[in-house]
Amino acid sequence: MAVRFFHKITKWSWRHRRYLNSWTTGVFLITLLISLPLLVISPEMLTPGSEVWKHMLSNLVPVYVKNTVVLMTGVGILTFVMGVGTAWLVSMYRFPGRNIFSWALILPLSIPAYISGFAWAGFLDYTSPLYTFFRQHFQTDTGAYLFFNILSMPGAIMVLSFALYPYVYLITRAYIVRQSTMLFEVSASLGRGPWGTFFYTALPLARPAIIAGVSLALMEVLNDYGLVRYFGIDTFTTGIFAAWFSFTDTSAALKLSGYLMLFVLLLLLAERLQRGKIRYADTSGKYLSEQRRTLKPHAGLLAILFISLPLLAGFIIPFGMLLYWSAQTMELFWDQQFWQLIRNSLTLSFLAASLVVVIALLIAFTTRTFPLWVIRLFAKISTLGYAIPGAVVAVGTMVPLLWLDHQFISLSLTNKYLVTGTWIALLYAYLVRFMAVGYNSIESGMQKISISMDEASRSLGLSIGNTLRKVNIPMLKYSMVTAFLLVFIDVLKELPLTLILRPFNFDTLAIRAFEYASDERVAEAGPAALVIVLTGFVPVFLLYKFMEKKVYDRT
Amino acid sequence: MSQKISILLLIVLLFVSCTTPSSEVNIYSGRHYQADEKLFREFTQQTGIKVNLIKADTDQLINRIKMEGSGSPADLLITADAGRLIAAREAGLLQPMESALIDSIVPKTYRDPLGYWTGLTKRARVIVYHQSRINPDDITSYEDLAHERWKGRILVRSSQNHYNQTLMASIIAALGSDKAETWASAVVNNMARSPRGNDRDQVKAIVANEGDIAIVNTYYLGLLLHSPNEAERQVAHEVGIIFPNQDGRGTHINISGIGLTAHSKNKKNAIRLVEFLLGDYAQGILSENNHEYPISMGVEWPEFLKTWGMFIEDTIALDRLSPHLQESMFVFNRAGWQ
Repeated sequence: MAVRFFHKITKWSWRHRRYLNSWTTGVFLITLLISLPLLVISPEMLTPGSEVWKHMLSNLVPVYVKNTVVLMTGVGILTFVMGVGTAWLVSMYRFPGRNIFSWALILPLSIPAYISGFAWAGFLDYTSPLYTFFRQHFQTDTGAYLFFNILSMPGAIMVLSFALYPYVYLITRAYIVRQSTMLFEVSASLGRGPWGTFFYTALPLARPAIIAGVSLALMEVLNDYGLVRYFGIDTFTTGIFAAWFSFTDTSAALKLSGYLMLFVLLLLLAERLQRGKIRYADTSGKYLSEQRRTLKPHAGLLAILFISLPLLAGFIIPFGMLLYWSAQTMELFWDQQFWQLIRNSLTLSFLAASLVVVIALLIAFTTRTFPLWVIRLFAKISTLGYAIPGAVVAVGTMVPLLWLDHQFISLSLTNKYLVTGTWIALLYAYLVRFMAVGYNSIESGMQKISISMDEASRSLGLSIGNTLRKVNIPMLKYSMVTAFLLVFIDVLKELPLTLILRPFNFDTLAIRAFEYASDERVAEAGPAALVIVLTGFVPVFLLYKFMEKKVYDRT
Repeated sequence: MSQKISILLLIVLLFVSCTTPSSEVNIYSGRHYQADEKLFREFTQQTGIKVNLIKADTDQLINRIKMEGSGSPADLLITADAGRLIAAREAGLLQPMESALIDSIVPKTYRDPLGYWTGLTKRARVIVYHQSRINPDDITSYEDLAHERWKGRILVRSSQNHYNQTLMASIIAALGSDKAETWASAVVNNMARSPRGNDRDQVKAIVANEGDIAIVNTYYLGLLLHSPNEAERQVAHEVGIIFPNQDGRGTHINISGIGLTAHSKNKKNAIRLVEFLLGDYAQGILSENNHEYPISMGVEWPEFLKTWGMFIEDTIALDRLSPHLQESMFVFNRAGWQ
């Protein structure tokens, strides 16, 4: 049996020998390393279920599945409409305020989703400034809900969508910016109006980017625990935690996590399959963004209204609440060693974002140059860490790290753990967690570069490495900057992994905010959350200026 | 190549051994309070023992200790729920502290009989009511919450909350699991809304007239009373407190507690820190700043706790809830308590 298997492997290797080189081997090992924490928890799926598992399967899992599907559908539709709509308007048209909108639309990303949830609940609850104002000035009894009950499924869909649409906006926008004008000119010359062009030409063309963005938003929905728990919605993820900690059945929790990953993997593969052999590359050098059309006044007004809604609900209102709370708890600004926290947060974010971008670039480029199904599959698996709760990823990363530490100890090199509980462990965990963010941005960008470009470069004598450096990277600048920005901000607000894997006496901004929020002291969490937003503001602004400049430079 | 690696490892080892002070104690804490850290700093000043701290979700800290096994750097585990300490002991993650001082300060009800863990502070899970709409004489026990008079009027958070789970374990211990389930079903029927929000939100919902009575932890009422937001302070003043079951077994008490880990490498320092935290000075700081009841009998309560008055505490020893903790989840689920 084993001999036959070995024989098969060697035969297969021989057949694919032109694919066996340092690129494929290196990237295969990297994807394996990133997938390892996810693979170690999957075998639990095959073990027989305990009493707890059976109890959950019949009593709870149907509810989890239903709620999760409703939540994903709602957030999927809303982030699609808002993300693509705003990206299209900002890229294609000129209207008052466009420049500000183009970077302000990213800002909701800098507020952790669960903090947005707390802020919205605080904005619409009995003791909010709004309700107090109504009671004092209109002598009415506001009761529990003046407008609507935010702690509900529609409330959760709304808050999550407004917090997550920037993923779709950013990736789609980086894609549209480099879209060739030719197809649109053809579409117009064939008699389609702007709407027709949008629906029949732009949308199908931007598919890889839209899918990349929406799937990030949906994975974020799947891994969210803080917000849904506070809003009283039992999702698959709250189920994982219930199994793990309320029933103290780790096996059942890992089983649920395994099925969650399998579900996401199947969705991703199904999309791939459905996309089939369609390619999205173009080769013309004229880009849409170089000739934005000025909108007529009434159309401009409509555009501004459409863009203002996500900006208002996703950023201005939660940010306003953070300001309001911070004003009440000012004294906390002085005794929290914020400089230290900012330094820790920035260093981690910078290191993690750089690491993820470089590795995602390598993976995307290698799977493109050497289309081996094994590497492609592992590339997809290595992105699944974004879809499951951070606490589960943490367990997954600890398994190989502890194994490594035990090897060190058994070699008598040391008597204590050298890797677990250090920065190295944290960065590894971030890599596992945020690979999807980097990979989705960069891979969707690569789809735009025709493979014949690479082939031309190679036939002109450039090595594979130089093709990457001189052909792909210059054309991928937008996608790489987008990926860096997304990962940077994600790490800045990252909570579950940092919380449980960090070294002693090490805090970040997100942790400081959480410590108060988890203690039901949201107002006291205000200052730290505010500093997260302001810290995220700087890279958002700088990097966006950089992207805008590049576009204008070329004209 | 291998020479390079071994030099590198040597440097790393040197670095590690240099940065390790000779006298320290490592804490994994599920409590995130500034007052705790202030006390740790003072402990270091008094004793020269350095306190290293990781604060995170209690369940995940327990899991981290479990995974780290014999190499775990943790010496002490601090939680804000008795149930978690019991779970940690059952998982074999703790060891007895063997301190006569601890045994003399902490009442038997609030520590493990063999010294695996001890309480640090107390919180009562009480019933809160609207002062003008409800006559507090109508409700004197947890069992009264099942009465149909309260249909559509009870507010309480999710069954995933540890305080609710430990409360349920105490009810199972008192009534048995069948009666506990009947009780839970009746409470679910009486709920004003499906469980959502945190303890503070339940109190706000009373004042917003979404319901009339709520099950709440005294600690969060203390937070509301001292909130930086004036509207929240007003809310706290509009409600009254009932300490349930004063004619019977007493009000359910939960603790914040501390346990010594099984593989502690700084055992002496760790026990010394626990004894410091149970001392009169530390107990006073904890209850003054954190709105908790001191576990030590000799320590005076802060003013606002005194205004709520003395009450009879449930007499069952917390470690006896052990067999009922997981069961409480089954009961909640069968009763449909979300």
